[in-house]
Formats: sequence, C-alpha cells, structure tokens
Amino acid sequence: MNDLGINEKNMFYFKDALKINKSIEILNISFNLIGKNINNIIYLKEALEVNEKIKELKLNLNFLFSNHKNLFYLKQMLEKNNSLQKLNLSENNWNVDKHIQPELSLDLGSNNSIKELILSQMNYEYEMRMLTYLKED
Amino acid sequence: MNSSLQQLFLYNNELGKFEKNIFHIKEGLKMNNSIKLLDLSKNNLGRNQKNLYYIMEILKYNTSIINLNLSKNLLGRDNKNIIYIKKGLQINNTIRILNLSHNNIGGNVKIVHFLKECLLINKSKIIFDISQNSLRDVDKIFIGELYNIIYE
Repeated sequence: MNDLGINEKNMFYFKDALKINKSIEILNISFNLIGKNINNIIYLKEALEVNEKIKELKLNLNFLFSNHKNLFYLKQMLEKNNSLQKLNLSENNWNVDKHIQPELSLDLGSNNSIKELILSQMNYEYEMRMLTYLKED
Repeated sequence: MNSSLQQLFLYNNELGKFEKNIFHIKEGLKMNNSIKLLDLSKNNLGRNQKNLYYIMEILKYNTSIINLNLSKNLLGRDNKNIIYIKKGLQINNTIRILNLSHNNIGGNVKIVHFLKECLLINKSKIIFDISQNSLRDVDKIFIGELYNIIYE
C-alpha cells in the first residue's frame, strides 16, 4: 500500500528495476492503484515480459478491471512471460466495466506457465467499501 | 489454449447472480484438461437451479478436476440442486474431494435423501465434506457411517 499507481513515474522506475531483477521470486504490489492509469499496466507488462525470475505476482486491490484495456495489456504480458506460476488478481472488481465478463478473466492466452490463478472477491460491494475508505483517507 | 493452469480460485464472487457466469465457466472447462482444483465457494449458486445444471454438465464432461469446492452456496434452498450434483457424479469418475459444507442442507428430508444417494456414488473414491449443514442426528443416522464423509 504505497499508492505507486498515483504517479506513473513510480511504475516507470519500478519497471527498470524489475527488468534487471535477478533475485525476487515473489512480488506483491497489491493495493497500489495501479489500474487507475493505463501506463502503469504498460510498464508492468514491459517489465514482466523481460523478467524471468518472478514466480508469484500479487496484484490484489488495484482497480485492474475498471478498464478493459488493462486486461488487454495484462494478457499480452502473460503471452510473453514464461516464469509466472501463481497470479493473484483478487479484489479487483470486474463489475465496473461492462465490457469485461468473467470469461475474459479466464483467458490466459498462450501462457503455459501459470499453474494457479486466483480471482476471488471481485464483487462490486467490496470495492465500494474500498472507495469509501479512500475518500475518508 | 492454456494447458498449464491447475488451480482456479473463484470464491466469493456472487457468480450465482447471473446464470451466464457458470455457463461461461462450463464452456471454458469443456476445452480444459489441466485444472485439478476448482473453487466456486461462496457464490450463491443455490439461488438458481440452472447454476447447478451447469455444474452437473461440468461434472459430466470434465475429466481433470479432482477437487471441487461448492461450500457456502445455499444449495439446500432447492431439492433440484442436489439432484443435479448427483446426476453429475453418476457420470464423473475423476472427482476425489467434493466440498458441500455450509450449504444449509440439514432439516429438509428430501434433500438429505438425495444427499445420501450422492454419497453412495463412488463411495470409496470421493471424500465428501458435508460439515456445517445443520444436519440433525436423525439425518446423520439416515446417511450412515461412511468413512469418507466429513461431518464436523
């Protein structure tokens, strides 16, 4: 929870770090508003297309499904990445963008490395609580 | 087509609200032979028997799922829900763990009867979790002491 997604420069520099990373295997960037800006997703995609070390990626609570373009770039990333084994996209609310249906979430493209996909608590009510919390903050 | 995914967790998504949700999952699983664990718990599937019809179709045609979690889905709301599971299990030969816990099945004689029929199918192969279903002592006596049933 560092609000990385608020300023896309954060993700720009983070991307460069991830590209040369040779040790981190579990990356948890949950609750960082990443899905609020499409450029954040593009930077993440660029990083993970190159990185071959990360096996587990947690992207919970990032408003990823608030824009179907986010999913488009995530899918592109998955098509090129062959190291991720566990992907957690929970709590990202797939009800916001009417273009997004659950079957899209199941489309992993040509990825053949992911063994575990977690898509829990994508419900509207939960994110409403999140938005309320952010407003209060 | 993806062939590496082994575990798919979709719990707590209100998928039962629209029957097309389970329909799409069923269609996806028709072409998939890699998923071994499917978690559909806490999705209110029992609100519409059509959801369980699609679960039956999954059980009939999928040959990779070993562990299916249907807990917390209010299955006890409609007798048909359990009938569809039974029909699916009659065809299925791969499921080894079926979680039916927290489904408010106890108290309804018909559902308990259907549940027993479910449990007797492939009884030596499948572990059934039917805990937290408000089953009465009389229900448990009726179902009997099958070693592969988790009551509590």
